[in-house]
Amino acid sequence: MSSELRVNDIYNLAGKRLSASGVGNVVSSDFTQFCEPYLVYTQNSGNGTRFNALSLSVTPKKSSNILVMQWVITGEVSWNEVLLIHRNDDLVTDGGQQGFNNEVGNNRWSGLLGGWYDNNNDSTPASWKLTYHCVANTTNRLYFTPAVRSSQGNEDWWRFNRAWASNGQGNYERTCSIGYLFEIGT
Amino acid sequence: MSFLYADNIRDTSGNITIPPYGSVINTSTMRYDGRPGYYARGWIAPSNQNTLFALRLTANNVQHPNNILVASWQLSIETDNNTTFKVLKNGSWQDNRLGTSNASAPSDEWYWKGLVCAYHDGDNSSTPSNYRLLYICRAGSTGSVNLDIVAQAADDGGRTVYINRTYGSGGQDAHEICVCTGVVFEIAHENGVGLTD
Repeated sequence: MSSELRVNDIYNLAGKRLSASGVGNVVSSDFTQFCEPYLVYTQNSGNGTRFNALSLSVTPKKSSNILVMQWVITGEVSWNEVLLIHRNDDLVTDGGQQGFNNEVGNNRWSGLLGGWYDNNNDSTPASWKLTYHCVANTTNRLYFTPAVRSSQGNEDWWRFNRAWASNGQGNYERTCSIGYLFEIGT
Repeated sequence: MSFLYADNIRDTSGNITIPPYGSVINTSTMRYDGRPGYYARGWIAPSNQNTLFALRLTANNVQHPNNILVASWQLSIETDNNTTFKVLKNGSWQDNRLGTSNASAPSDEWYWKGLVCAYHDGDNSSTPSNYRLLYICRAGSTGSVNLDIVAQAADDGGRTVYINRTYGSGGQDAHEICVCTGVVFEIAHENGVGLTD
């Protein structure tokens, strides 16, 4: 015979919360996966071009909660590029949580990650591992999107989930980009 | 609003059921935007190597030594290809087995063993590389657990490891400046306890 007990919260005798909705717990999450080939034109000025298919969204349960995001992004690119983070379609500029390097500020060679200086841009895409975290600072809906920007004098292209020279054939691999967001209770 | 006060809630087998085993019960993060260079030496014990303290990831308020820590760094680094990256837990070199010290490893293997190694990329002067360093261990203690990264030359020489910048510049066209971030999750283990604050 099964039994069920439902309450809002559970505490031990010392007053510590035991339930899985408390401090340090994952209280909500979002996931994205995109496997189609996709081209993004990267300008060398402005705040970057968003790769909207990799957006992650959350409606925070508490404004002080921590948001942790991780992506594996695959593709092929000239090495002179940076990867940025946008929040609700704007580059994140909040102090300490910028979507670029806050020591050098927002210029075209400042980002969270650089391109990939591999030995061949024609075939075999690379992969980038991006981690971004911030305080929610609101209980309104937020969405976070990786964006790309040329870090040199020329504008360029970033080819996601594919090699530079082909959409997919022998020696020209097709891949996926994947991300998740955890909201951490505080 | 209702509350239930008890020391533990157990299933009919006597196992503690809250929080569920496998749950994330603590999360700590780090971010570093600085642009230093570290000198990575070659044939030397990792515990005597230069530690990249700026990239320290501290698991705070660890609840039980048997719980699992899942640590992950996004590293933006430029260095020569013959470089390995290791993890020190509370100052002690760990290998990739859960919570196991690698102190018994032959000393002549110190310099070329690591969790990840630098890429053999096409150019060290511009565009730093991007690494994911993933390290999983038992917490081993409660309170704070410090996880540090050591970069080590994988040959007899030494070399500079640049954080968040390239060899060639501290920031200019085609010489990107990036960020290192990290996150560590404490996972409640069936042999541990997962109280949350």
